[in-house]
Amino acid sequence: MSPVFRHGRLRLYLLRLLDEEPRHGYEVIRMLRDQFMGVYAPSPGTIYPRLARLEEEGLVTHDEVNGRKVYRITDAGRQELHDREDELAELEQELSDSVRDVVREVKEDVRETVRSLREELTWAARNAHPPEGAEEDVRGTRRGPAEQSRDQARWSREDTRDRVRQARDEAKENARRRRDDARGYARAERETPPAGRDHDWGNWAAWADWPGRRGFPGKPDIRLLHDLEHTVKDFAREMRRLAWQSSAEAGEDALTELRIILDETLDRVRSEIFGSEHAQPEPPPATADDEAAPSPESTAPGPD
Amino acid sequence: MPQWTVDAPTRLAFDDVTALRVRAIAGSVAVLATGEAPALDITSISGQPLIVSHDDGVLTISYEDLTWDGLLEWLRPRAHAAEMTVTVPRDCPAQVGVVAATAVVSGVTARTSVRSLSGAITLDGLGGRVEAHTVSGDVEAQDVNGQVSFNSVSGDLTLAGGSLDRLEAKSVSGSVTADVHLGQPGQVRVATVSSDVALRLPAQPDAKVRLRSTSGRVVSEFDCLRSTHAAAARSVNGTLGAGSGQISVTTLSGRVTLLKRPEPAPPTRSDEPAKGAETKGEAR
Repeated sequence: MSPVFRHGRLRLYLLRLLDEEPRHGYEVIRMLRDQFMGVYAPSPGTIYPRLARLEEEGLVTHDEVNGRKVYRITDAGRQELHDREDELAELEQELSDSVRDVVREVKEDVRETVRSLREELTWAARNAHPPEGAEEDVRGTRRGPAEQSRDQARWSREDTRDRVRQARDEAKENARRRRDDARGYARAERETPPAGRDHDWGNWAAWADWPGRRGFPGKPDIRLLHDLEHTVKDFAREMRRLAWQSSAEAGEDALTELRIILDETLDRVRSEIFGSEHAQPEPPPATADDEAAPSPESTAPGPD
Repeated sequence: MPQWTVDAPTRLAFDDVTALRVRAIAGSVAVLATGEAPALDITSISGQPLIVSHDDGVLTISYEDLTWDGLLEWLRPRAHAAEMTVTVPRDCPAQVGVVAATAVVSGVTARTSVRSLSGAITLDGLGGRVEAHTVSGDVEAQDVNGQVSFNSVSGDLTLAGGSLDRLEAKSVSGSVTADVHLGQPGQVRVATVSSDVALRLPAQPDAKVRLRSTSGRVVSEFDCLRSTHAAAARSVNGTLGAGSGQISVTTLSGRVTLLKRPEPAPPTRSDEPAKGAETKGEAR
């Protein structure tokens, strides 16, 4: 079974192992397995007959220790090792080569596992739905309607200011990051050959080639287009609300920055989502619901 | 203190190695923990010679004038390349620092620390505390157990299989993908700026959960978790099981997905992705 040992080499290697110190048969097996990182795991059926043969030839002998055979090398065995020193050196070289093969196998094995896991989880992530009833608006607590609306009013008063400030800070951070991202992305696009990009989750176009995706969710249909429209409308509504709430602070600079962000965003949407041959359909309805954020009561904590 | 200057392919054997330190520029470094006698096998080398020393059990492989801290200062990696394989005992702590070289570490049960600038890191069957820090190199790991700490700017982390007591991962734009068991209690803390985070856990985890993204989609497949959605952030919070562990994911614009592994726990390797985690769980 083994490409590791050529004819007669396993015998030589067994002698070498026993030359180091007397060993149980099972210890010999364990050492072979460790040597080859489990890739070559000789069975007792392979090893014991060979040890017995070596014993017949007078190269090893055994003692009974606690009812188990401990093999040790004889003088004749040592002589055999000595006579075949060249072959032994060659064998050491082959073993070191096979350890390199083990390295390559470990690498390929991990790579393959990791790649299929990533494909699987990416696919699953795109199609994940929260369980029924888990979706809830932040203010939709499960209490009496009156208490709820009282809370909501108080919440709105106290938190709107903080939230607006926070949103603004985050928007600024986003703006900076997206600029950096866009530059980085453009650079990567220039520098990276297409084949090297399997690991880029941001590269939507590449998703089209993933096996798990094929046939799902089929041709873009009218419902998905509607969802897209809703998503865009919600985006505009949310934007208007933010602008309205922070009108005191939003100046010329902010608008310029915003324009840059939006232009870049549109470019990315164009090239990464709709640009590929396999047009990337909108995410399934769960996403659209997710996007369609503010329920009626939450859209109106504005000044009116 | 035995010391060698290596400028040609060489094989060195050692009686005992109790700790390993490797610093390399380009090429490849493989650390294999086995039951065999420790050995260093340098199969190719170009550029500056490697300095190998074996001092009181500590095996150090490095370049002259290349200190641990100064590792990243070497900006012309191609000039100094070496390919090497080191076999060490399983309980030998390993510290590997590379610039552009790829690094493979397999089988070590003691502490493992791997740093890389752009080289990819492959980890297999580790059992101790594992640290992997990269700038742009990806980290791919299979069957890593214990504690994992990952830090990167743009490298991706993927953990396939294994049971973790602790996972700490921070990155700017490198994604974090993990399909793991959690220890009792297990701690997961992931923070990214713009990259996606996907975690898949067994169906019955035991942890307090807090997932949050400022502008990305946040989805959990688990019951009992409450999803909230406000202008400033989307989040999923709640408690799974007794809540003794902790799962915390924070990202600015990445998407966060918490997936439930279909029962019975499937093997982590397959030749093709599942065609539907929810509907065809048994296919895995």
